[in-house]
Amino acid sequence: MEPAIRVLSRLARLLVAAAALAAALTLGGATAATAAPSPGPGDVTVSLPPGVTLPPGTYHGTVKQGGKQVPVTVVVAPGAPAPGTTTGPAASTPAGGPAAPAGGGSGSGSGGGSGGGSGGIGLPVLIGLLLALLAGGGTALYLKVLVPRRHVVAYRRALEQVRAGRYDEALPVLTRTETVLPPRLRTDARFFIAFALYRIRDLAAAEHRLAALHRENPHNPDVGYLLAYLRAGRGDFDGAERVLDVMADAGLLEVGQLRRLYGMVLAERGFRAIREGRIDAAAELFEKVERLGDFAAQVPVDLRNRNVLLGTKALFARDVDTAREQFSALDRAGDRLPADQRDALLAAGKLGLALAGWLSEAPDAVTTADRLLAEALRLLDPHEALEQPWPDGTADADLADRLAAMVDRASRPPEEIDRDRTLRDVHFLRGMVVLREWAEADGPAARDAADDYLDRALRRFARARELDPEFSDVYLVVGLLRYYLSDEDGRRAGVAALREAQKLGTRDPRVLQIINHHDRLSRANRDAADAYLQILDQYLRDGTVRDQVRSALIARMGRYGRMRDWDSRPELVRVRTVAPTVAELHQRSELLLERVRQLLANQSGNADLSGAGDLTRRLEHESRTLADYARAVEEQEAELLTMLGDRLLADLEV
Amino acid sequence: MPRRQPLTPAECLRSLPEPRLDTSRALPEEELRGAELGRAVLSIAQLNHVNETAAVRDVVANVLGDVPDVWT
Repeated sequence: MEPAIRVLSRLARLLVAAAALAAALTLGGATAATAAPSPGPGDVTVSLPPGVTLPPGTYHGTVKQGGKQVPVTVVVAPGAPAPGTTTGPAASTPAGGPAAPAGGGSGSGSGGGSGGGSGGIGLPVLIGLLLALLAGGGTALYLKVLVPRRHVVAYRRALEQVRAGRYDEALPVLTRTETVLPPRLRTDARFFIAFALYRIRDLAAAEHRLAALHRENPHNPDVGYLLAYLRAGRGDFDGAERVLDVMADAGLLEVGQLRRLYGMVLAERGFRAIREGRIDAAAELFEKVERLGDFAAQVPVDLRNRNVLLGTKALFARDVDTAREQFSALDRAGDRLPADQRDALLAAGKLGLALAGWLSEAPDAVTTADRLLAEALRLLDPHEALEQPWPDGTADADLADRLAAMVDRASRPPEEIDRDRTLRDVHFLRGMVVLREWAEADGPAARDAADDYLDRALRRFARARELDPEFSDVYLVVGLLRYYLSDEDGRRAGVAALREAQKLGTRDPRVLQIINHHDRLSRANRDAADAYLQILDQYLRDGTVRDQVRSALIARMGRYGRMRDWDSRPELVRVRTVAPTVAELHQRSELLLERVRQLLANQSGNADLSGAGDLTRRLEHESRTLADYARAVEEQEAELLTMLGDRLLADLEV
Repeated sequence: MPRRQPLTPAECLRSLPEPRLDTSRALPEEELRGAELGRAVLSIAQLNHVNETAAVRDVVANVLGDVPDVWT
């Protein structure tokens, strides 16, 4: 670039000098001559510009001096540089000093008088015109090309700074050269200024410039993209959409990332509409997002479909009729639904109708809801069972295992977590449907079929628990059902479930009451069990009890291995060879009964021990009767001995 | 050495991050629960601890005639 400019500069200067020569010679015609007379008195000296030469020959012209026009003849001798002179009627000082011999300009005058000039315009005139034109062109070249080219060089240098990320350095140059650049570069220069401003976070200035560019040319995709991008970045999605609508109308969405930006902006506006409760607007926006495609998968399936959105809104408003209408439309749409969404949308339709049935008061609505929920589950989760047994008897996982399981579940993909949450809730709702049917059944039917209802409900709740072991609602409901409606073992399992619900956040006062009561009973039972084992140990060590009786007692109690290590039972070493007396038996029973009575007194609310109280009273009676019989036997023995003595000894006394 | 092409607006735009959609920010969980059917099942069915407990009590009352305080 630089050498070219130097060349062009020299050319321009040459052309300017040629123009000066043409001005110095007044074009009236000149012819070449061969003689070169010596300057004489009265001659006029014409100076040529430095470096300018004339070919040998004779030139005729006119010199204006003192208001007169003097014809002159300029003779340039071949190869003999001499100051050029002229002859004429008036001698005057040379106009420009002595003639410069450089290039060899000389001439001799001929033709006295005032007229002197002879010959036509011809070639010299044409050359002069050409020189004048070239001079003008040179000036224009300098002003129009050379000067602007310097600005372009600076501009390009600034662009390299933009490319390198040195926006602060580039901006002053870009701003300075913006208005002096050739028109074909100005629009881009303004864009680059706006881009640099955006990059240095002067968003207001950047947006102002971009908006101006966009007004001037609404179909410039680069300007449109950056303007919409800037507005979207600061949350002005409405402003961004206005720009992108223009791009869409002009068919420019396939340029760069315009389509993607448009989809993002529409989705953001759709979410905002959801937050503001404008469901119809949201449905429309998400339909557009669906058509554009880039972010369709990120919009939840339920939000992408107008029927589902409006149906859900109706359910929340308890407008059951509208909800049925919207979800039935989905059901009817069937094959017209997009293939990749068909099952999900049909399931949504059935779920929506089921919920409408759940909310309605119509007879049999709950039965219909149950059927629809099952159908929805078969669409959502076709390979899994609708029910499974409640997991009784499995050991609870320790805290570390539970935490590890929770972390595993939380690290799954979001769509899988969402899907399982929906399945969990639908299974749970199916369980609650059983409860509603059970509550609405006739009293006798509800009692007679209680086991069946409970089993059905537990099997459905078990699926919910399987999908989310941390779901407190399922433990709450199962715990209460089993506590109130099961036998002793089931009640204990129910309390265990309620305890789990409490760990997971349940704060229901009834639940706390049940758990606390159960804990108190457990403590009392443990104390009573300790007291019983002490009584048992003492009895087993008592030698007045036959060893066969004691051995049989140990065998029977041995099944309670958790409470006692029966291998460490008292040894039956005390074996009496002499039968216990009645008094010993009576005393033993009295002691045993006293301790048992104390134990039973602490278990007064335990209905299962009512039989023990009856047996205690019978034992007491039998023991007393035994003592009475023993006394009666002794008395009869004494009576017998007395009778015999009276008969036998009386004769001997006489 | 080949001359480098001058910077173009398209090249500038390619240096910008791709547009992204952050759904968790755009629609937080609690708001999505109110809009997306799959997340709104329990809410629509009005199933919460209070109502669930009441449903169990209805069953118990139907079966037993009354709801006992606690089993002793």
